[in-house]
Amino acid sequence: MRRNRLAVAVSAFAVGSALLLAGCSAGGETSDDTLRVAIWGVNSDIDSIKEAAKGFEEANPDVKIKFEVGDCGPDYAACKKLIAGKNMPDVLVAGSWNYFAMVRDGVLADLTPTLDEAGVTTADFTPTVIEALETSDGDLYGLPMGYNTQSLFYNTDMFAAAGLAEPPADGSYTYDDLRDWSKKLTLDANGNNAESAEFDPENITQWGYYNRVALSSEPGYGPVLSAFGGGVLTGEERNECSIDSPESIEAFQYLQDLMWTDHSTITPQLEQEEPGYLRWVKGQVAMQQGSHEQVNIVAEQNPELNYNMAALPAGPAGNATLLQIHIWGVYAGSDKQDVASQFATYMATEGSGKQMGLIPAYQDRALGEDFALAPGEPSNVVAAQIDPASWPLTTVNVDPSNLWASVSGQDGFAPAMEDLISDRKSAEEAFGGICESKIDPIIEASQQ
Amino acid sequence: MTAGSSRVGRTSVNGRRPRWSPLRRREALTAFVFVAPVVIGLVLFMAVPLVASLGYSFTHWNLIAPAPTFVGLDNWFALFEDPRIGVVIWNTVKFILFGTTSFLFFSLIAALLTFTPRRFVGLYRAALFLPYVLSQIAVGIVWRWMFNSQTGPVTLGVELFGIPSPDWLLDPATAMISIALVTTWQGIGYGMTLYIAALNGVPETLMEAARIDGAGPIRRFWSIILPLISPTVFFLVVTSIIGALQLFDPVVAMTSASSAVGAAGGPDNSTRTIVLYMYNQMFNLNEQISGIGYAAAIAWMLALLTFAITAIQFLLGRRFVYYEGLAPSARTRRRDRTSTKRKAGA
Repeated sequence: MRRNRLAVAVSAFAVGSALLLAGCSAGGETSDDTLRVAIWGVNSDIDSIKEAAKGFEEANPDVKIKFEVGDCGPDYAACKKLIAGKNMPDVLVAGSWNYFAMVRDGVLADLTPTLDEAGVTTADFTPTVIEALETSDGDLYGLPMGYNTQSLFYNTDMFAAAGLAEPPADGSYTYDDLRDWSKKLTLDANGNNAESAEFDPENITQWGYYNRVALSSEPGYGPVLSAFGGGVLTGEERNECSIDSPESIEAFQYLQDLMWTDHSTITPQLEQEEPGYLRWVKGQVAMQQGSHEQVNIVAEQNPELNYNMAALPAGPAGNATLLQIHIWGVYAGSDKQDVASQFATYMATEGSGKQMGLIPAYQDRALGEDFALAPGEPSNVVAAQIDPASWPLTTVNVDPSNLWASVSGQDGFAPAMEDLISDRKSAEEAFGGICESKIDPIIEASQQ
Repeated sequence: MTAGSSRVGRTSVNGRRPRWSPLRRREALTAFVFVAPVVIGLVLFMAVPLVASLGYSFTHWNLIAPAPTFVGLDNWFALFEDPRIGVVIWNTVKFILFGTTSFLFFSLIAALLTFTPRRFVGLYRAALFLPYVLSQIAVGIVWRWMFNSQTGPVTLGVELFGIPSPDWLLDPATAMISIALVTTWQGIGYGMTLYIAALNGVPETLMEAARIDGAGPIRRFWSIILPLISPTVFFLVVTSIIGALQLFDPVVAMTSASSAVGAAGGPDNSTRTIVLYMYNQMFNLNEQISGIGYAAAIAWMLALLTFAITAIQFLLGRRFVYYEGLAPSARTRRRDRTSTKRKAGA
């Protein structure tokens, strides 16, 4: 009896210890011929990447690809946790917003030699995109999967009902025009538009415009600031504060006036209740500034919506837009550098197109069936999405000085932005002198 | 069993340790085997990280570099030079003042209202307890909508009474109070349950005697109920303050404009707590000092703060907490002895 009890106890201890050790062990160990690839996105994004990788798998039957869906890529913190736990996949999809932080920390391997071996040159890619990824030494630590462009998406039925001509596809209109249209397209429950003296801002049923400034999101306000001749951080290394320049303040005031003076734009409160882009998809908003993912969302959620797109308008400084790049990168600590680099290069070149709904940056694939000529694309897609990449004022949200997290957070301009979009302060009151008081000390501290 | 072997550690007459019988050894082994998984778990997941984090606080490491770099006391000195530390401590204290106080008060009210058996009392208790089992992030997201300053039900409800509604989460003056209201709402059920258990321990005979002596409900509460449930009040005070010092999830869910933890803590830094700032320094910020070293130093500062506050509570608890059936504290005994001597002297 006692022996039995002891046997049970020893067995329980053994099982408990085994479970404990099993729980502690890293879960990412794979055999030598398996390449681990970290990917992210919605289901259709995941499927599109897997589909694109089939060509590589067929050409390399001895290599098994194991896709791991998670946050590592868009969220650098998630990658750091995997690296510290020695469980980092061999390949990942970084974003232009965190690419240089990964380069600085030595997370990404230099792909320049692999490109040379594959006979691929930077001239094969969209210049603005590839230049944004080059370090000051001209090296490439990642290759573009594709990019997003901010454009104006508009409801054609609403424009017709208001008797307005549709926005020119090439962006040959101004932010003043946009503001006028936004007021005319904003309607209250009695059908009065925002220009009418009888307009009731407490009872709006249709809004004219949506910009992600309501979310304090850079792809929302960034293009407007650039078109007005301003910006948050400017210069080649994006380490010169411009957020309180007269041009930036004018742009911020323009965005605030759309929300709180004209009442023609989605406010942060309305955004919180239901995101503005979904309101546009549902037909509650006439225009929105967004990227190509809107095309997929409309196809999935409201295929009956009649819409088109146009390049963003011109401000006092000219036309500007913002690009976001998704980047194939190879983990520098991977013990499968060669095959991982070959995979990343393949996905950015031969296998490019139709990945995550992005505009391919390789050769002229964007103009073909992989993007512009794909079924369901709006007629203005080339003028609105592809051509603006070559505008002189177009920017990419890369962060070569690794300042953005601090500058855009609570220690930087986040409180000022909250004041602006909540209408607590004017743009001048919120941002005036902020470079000297808050941003420059952050920049100086980073350079010490 | 001999007298010499009845206690572990007792020495025998000739100065040697007594030999354990085979039965006793087997029993000890069995006990060890059963306890070992828990002990191993505690050592692996509590003691080792605790010691490791103290070690990390003397290093700089961004998790990417192959190994941490020893920086001595740099992180600890940085704590004193960082102006944000004072802000985040004050924000956390504000939350304790609003959140813990309201939690203790409203939990007690809920317990008193649902203590007496009546129709549907089980339903009321279940309804009050339900929020406690929900995820803090989910609750935070829902209440963020509730506090929407244009269309939120709380705003509209306040305005129904003709009172201008504050901007709740958008105003630095009310943002932390709003978060405290939500955590109170979510925690009431837990506090209420413990209070009800304590109220069940109050002898009815005492209450009856007090009634006969003419004590009203308020007098009975202050003189009988509160002293008798004071151990539970003390437990809730200690644990809720420890929990409040670790506030993180509700702040992230209710104050980040774009679900980014890096931007949470607004408006104007008014809800940035110690733990949120620790997370920022660990994962969001790219300052010279940022990384696991400085985050560990902040964590240890929080641990020391928690220890100090808890120690003060225990010291105060000796005066205010009444443990029925236990010997009075040393101070009480000393006071009693002094009083007896005086009486004897007189």
